[in-house]
Amino acid sequence: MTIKQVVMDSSLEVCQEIDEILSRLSLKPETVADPRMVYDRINQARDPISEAKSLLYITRNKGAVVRPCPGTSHYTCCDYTILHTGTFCTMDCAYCILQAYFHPPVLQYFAGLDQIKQSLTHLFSQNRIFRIGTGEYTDSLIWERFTPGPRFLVDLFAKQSNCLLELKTKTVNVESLLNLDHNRKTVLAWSVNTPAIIRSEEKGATRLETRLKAAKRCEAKGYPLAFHFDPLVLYDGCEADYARVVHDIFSHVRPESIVWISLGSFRFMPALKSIIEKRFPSSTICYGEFILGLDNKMRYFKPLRIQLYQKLVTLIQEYAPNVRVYFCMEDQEVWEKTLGFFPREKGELGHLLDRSAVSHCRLNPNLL
Amino acid sequence: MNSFNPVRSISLTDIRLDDTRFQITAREENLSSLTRSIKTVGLVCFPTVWAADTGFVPVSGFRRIQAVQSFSETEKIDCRIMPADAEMACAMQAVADNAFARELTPAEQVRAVKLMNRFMDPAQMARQSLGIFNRQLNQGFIAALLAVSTLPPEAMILLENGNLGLKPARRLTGYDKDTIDVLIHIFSRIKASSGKQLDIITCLTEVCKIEHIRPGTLFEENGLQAVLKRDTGDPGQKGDQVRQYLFRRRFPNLEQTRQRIKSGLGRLLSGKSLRFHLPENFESTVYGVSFDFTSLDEFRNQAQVLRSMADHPDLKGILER
Repeated sequence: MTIKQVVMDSSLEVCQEIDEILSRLSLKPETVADPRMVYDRINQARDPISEAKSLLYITRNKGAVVRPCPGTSHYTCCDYTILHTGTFCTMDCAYCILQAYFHPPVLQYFAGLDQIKQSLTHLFSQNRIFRIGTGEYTDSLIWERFTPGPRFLVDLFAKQSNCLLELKTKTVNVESLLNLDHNRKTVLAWSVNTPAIIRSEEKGATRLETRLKAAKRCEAKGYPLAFHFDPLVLYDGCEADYARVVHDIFSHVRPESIVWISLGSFRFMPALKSIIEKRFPSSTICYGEFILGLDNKMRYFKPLRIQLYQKLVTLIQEYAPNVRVYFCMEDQEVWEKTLGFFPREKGELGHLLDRSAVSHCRLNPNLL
Repeated sequence: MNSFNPVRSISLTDIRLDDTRFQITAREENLSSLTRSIKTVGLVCFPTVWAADTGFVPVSGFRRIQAVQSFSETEKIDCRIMPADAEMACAMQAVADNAFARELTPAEQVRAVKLMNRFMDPAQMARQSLGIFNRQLNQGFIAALLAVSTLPPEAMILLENGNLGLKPARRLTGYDKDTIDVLIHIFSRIKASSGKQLDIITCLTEVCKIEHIRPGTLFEENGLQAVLKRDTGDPGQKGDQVRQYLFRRRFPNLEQTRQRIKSGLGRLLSGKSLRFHLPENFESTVYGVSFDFTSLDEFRNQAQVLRSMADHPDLKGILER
């Protein structure tokens, strides 16, 4: 999706960071005093979601810069920390929950590296491990070519030893990061899917092979890596296709470079279904055997989820027996029937991932 | 407005009962009670007609005019006459006359907005709705009713006789002709609540999308035809069976598990007065058992039954799904 308009919060002072974005986008910004003017413009469009993807609103984060991942009720969460650098995305994945999550969705870039630095400095001084990611409400690297943000973060994290930064993406925008002195504190993570799903459901995202080649380049520069099979989509032949993705990953990168691999099957707020039907009429992704989960999100009927997870876990463990595999938002039954154990205690999954983070990213082991 | 229009006695033969442009009610076949009332007390309210070039077109009081026509001895009827240049006012009165007397049925609402749409767009209609429809209608709802008015006449008949709810009818407007025809065909042979109709629409259309088949192909499937042709004598039961069939097609694994567990439960609970509570959609792992008792002995008996159930082979199958 191409950015057609840039709107800037009038209270922002032009600085080097904003200068860089504007000059690289080659668009003259319109300034607004009230964000409601942006919301109105988006809401009045025939397709507000598409409109939002072409309108970049540069503003300052007026809420919490760092916040714990909200997780979901009844399913096991990994105690992640979100670094809130922006919202929404320029890619157009049919399954993207952000389409239904924001009212209205606004493609925001939060300027103010000083603000981010201040919030992170507070975390850097604590005696515990933090796994921090920017990919919860947006793709971590969509602005890599336009802003100094990702470079700034990699540099900042390199200078401490209790926090890991995970940049999660479906892009291959890593060029400006390759030669940084990252000190292994930044994990470059890719969301992966089968070529069939990428082709049909991930409009504007890069091909799987391109992502894996980018991962390989990052590995060569010493970056720790992660892969997220999320969302896993069930369709005829999906097991063989996902097996092929696992094979492709390990034919590009070494298991030792991988900090973790997560698995999560497609789940969505019921409101997303009508959005997908309207915006992606040829997509059948929302017509799986979904039931209403305990957290009021639609999920695949559990035996179907377990069946695919079992196949994938077995295969991943054949290639990489020591790589930490975990589930994003699954329950005890799923864990036990696929991985053979369940991180029952509060914070136990987080602790398992912290251990992996410590060993791959040279974090302070005394904090475990 | 009506009170300023004169009441005149006009010849029944001058009234164009075949011109139903203002009629939003269904045609009433049985007029005997109305006829009896008019014969006894006369016309309590005068019908309204529009003085068109071709004759008097009924605006409101279709049934009253028909009832009076049925008296062989009468040739004239007192009517309120609307002038020739007041066609829009006639339309408003045709709707208001019914809407202020009682709540309009879904089919009447559809016909009413279609009638008013000849004179005003949905936005104007929404602004004036309180005065015409006796309720505030929003523009989106009016547009939806207008869309329903474009459905085939068979759909309007189903809407009229209650075999198609307004919400399912609105949903139908989003589909192509083939899909609409198949669903109308199904709804004309069953009886189901609006919620069940929506389930049927959703399952049928989604199965077609998943399997890339035409609705007609699914409709012709032996299983569905067997249900539709079954002589149950109860269209409500047939509606449930159609819905169940389409659920099985749409959620094959879930329904198969449900059936298997239902059979297992049947064997497990045979002869026992226990209630077994399954987790909804088998997502949770929490099961429940409950029973009633009136004495310590009964409690002891039920506890014994519970203990014996633990070794029943079907219980393991139910818990493992």
